[in-house]
Amino acid sequence: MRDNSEIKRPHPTTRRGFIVLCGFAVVSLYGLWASYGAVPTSLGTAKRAMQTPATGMGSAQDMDSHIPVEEFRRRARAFVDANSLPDGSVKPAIADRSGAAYISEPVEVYVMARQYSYWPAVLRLGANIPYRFRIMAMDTDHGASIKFKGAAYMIRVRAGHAVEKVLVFKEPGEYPIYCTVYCGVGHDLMKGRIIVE
Amino acid sequence: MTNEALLNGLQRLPSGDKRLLKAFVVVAVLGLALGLVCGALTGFRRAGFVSLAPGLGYKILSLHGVSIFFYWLYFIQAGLVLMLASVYANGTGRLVGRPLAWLALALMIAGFALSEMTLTMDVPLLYDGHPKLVTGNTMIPGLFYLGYVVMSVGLFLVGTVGILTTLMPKFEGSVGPWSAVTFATVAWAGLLIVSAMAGFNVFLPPMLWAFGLGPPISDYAMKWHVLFHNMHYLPLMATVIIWYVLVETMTGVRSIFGSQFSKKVFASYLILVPPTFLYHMFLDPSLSETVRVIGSLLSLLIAVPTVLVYLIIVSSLECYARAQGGKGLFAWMRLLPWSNPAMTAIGLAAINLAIGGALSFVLIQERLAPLLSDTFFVPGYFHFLTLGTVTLTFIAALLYVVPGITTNPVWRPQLLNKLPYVITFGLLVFGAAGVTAGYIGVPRRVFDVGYGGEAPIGWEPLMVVVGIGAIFMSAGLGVYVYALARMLLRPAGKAGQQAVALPVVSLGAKPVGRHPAWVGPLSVLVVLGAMAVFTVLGFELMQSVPLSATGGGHAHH
Ligand code: HEM
Ligand SMILES: [Cu+2]
Repeated sequence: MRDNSEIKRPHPTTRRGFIVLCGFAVVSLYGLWASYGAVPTSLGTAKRAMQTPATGMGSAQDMDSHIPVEEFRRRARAFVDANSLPDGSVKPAIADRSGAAYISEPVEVYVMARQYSYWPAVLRLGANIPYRFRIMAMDTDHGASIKFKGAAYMIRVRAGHAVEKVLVFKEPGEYPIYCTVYCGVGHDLMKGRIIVE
Repeated sequence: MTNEALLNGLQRLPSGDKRLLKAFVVVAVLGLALGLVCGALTGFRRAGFVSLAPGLGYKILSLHGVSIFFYWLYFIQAGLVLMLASVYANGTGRLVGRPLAWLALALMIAGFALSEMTLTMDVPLLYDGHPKLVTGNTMIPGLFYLGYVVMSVGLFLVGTVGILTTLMPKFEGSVGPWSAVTFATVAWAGLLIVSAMAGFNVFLPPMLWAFGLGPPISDYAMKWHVLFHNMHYLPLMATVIIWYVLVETMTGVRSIFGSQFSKKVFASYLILVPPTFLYHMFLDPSLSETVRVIGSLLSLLIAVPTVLVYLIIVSSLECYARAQGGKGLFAWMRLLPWSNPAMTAIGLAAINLAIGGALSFVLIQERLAPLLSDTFFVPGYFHFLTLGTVTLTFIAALLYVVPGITTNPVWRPQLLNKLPYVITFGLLVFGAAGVTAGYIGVPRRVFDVGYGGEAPIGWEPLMVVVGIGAIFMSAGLGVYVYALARMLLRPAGKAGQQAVALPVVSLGAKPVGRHPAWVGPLSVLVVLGAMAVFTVLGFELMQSVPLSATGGGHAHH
């Protein structure tokens, strides 16, 4: 009713333009994102920004490798059979550790996530070696988060789809894996381990 | 004089309308009470204060989410939107289509009963009810989806009655232009209808599937997120509408920016909210990188209307208070009626909105999704909004609405005036521990974070702190529920008796003059700073992780 238009010269802080400006101030967060390379800063760099991972952990993009469920199960069995150690853990063999071949071809790793376990549950990997993880949720959706000293890295896996990611562990250590997508009453039993040697 | 549109309007409502509104409020408070007990148990269970078998634990978590997030919020929104429509739509002073509203209430109650019963009987589906979790017998899950469907039909009718009530005076040619509140009420009722339709869209197909009448479900996640996004912005819009009404009721202050401007801001919700749901899906492999970058950008705009309404209210208050001799940067606030429990509730709701808002912006940056989505960060921050902002505000409105429709006075206002502080304190404890836990990877929806002794350091102690926060949150909310139940269930006061008014002030007697308003803009600046800090923390933590991860690269088959 009694509105500012009745006043000849309202104080600058009580003008509409001023509060609209304040309202849009949150958009300035864009600058901060850009400084971490998380968003494009100009059209020219847009493409690059979208392709190169800005952070150590890369972008959230997960590949779906379109492997059918039965085919995945077969490959995972073959992977575990070929690489099992007597203690039940699995250590993927690294065929050729020298030459360019291994740089361009990461070591294959298959993990099945299902109610309420990972298979294989314990992986022994080498530091600074690229592994191509393929993780499939066999029944309902699952997660497969890896806990490091500070933060954790989260992966979501949809039922019947194999997420594909190339992971390089940079420091030796034991890292728990746990499910971060509710999958039923045994959800908090789902755990595994990656031992980087 | 203080504006009395709300109080007078409530008292003048036909007694049939009062009975209807009261029924909505009674069921809403029942949902709140059930949700509260289950929320408390969930918090205590996570802290290890109580032990419950996993099956029971997840049933209780499901009941918490369903009772409080679906039913409390929908019943109370239904009640409040119908109240505003009948009280503020000039000229009617009554509901148009009351029988339809009773039908709506009956359907929503049927939905409520179905949801609660099925959740206690079968595999706990949690409130999002993902059909892939359904195993074995599909009959009970089918009834669970039916509950949501029936509730959605009711909600649709509520929105329709709300809009009819505001439009009818126009059809009858009896009134001129709408007030900003009437306009906002129409937007609110309209978005409730949108919510109802999004609800059919998600829950109808799995219901048919479960009853053997339809194909299996493959696109649940996307549809769910459309609904979910709508569901959690709608109560925020409702919150700022209620602030707008209550501030006018308690201080006589109206927007110094004019009602035209408020209408535009309320309208902008309709434009900005729908396209921003993408950020819930950043971890979904089906989204391309480009879509996710655009999603992040759009999401930045989502706070704009809420910040604007906040500024309209706070700057108007400051300007009026200064015109009344209010001084200092903050001292003018002493002129506000802080002995009124509704004022205290919305005052602290504004602070909780700032905290929750600042934290929420970390989640809209898609690069941070692998760090924080699905962690305890999420419940850690959103309770500032669902409990600290929205629920506190709706309760503040009830402190006016319930006496208005029952003529029973507010129960022990001085005691109620302390509860917002108790709840906010609890939230600060719960939120600080919860958000920290999220940054270091503690998952949500997991009761035993001990992982059989393998849990990383810090996980379990943080959950104990969360449990301590939950004690204060539950205690504060519990007293509110008791107070509301008492006020609702006591036999109504004598006919013609006036409800005892809560303390108000009148800041609107003199012309405003030329005064600055600093607190609103300053608080936006502080929130912006906090957002930056939380975002930097996220990026730095991510960079500290000794892992490099890239998508699958060239590995196509
Ligand atoms: C006394 C107050 C409350 C307490 C102690 C409480 C406690 C909790 C806790 C501990 C969780 C986390 C469960 C987990 O992820 O493991 C949770 C989840 C949740 N809370 Fe609350 N809460 C309260 C009030 C509310 C209110 C008022 C609302 C909404 C209006 C709400 C909505 C939710 C929702 C939607 C979830 C997510 C459920 C899920 O993940 O399935 N809570 N609550
Ligand atoms: Cu799982």
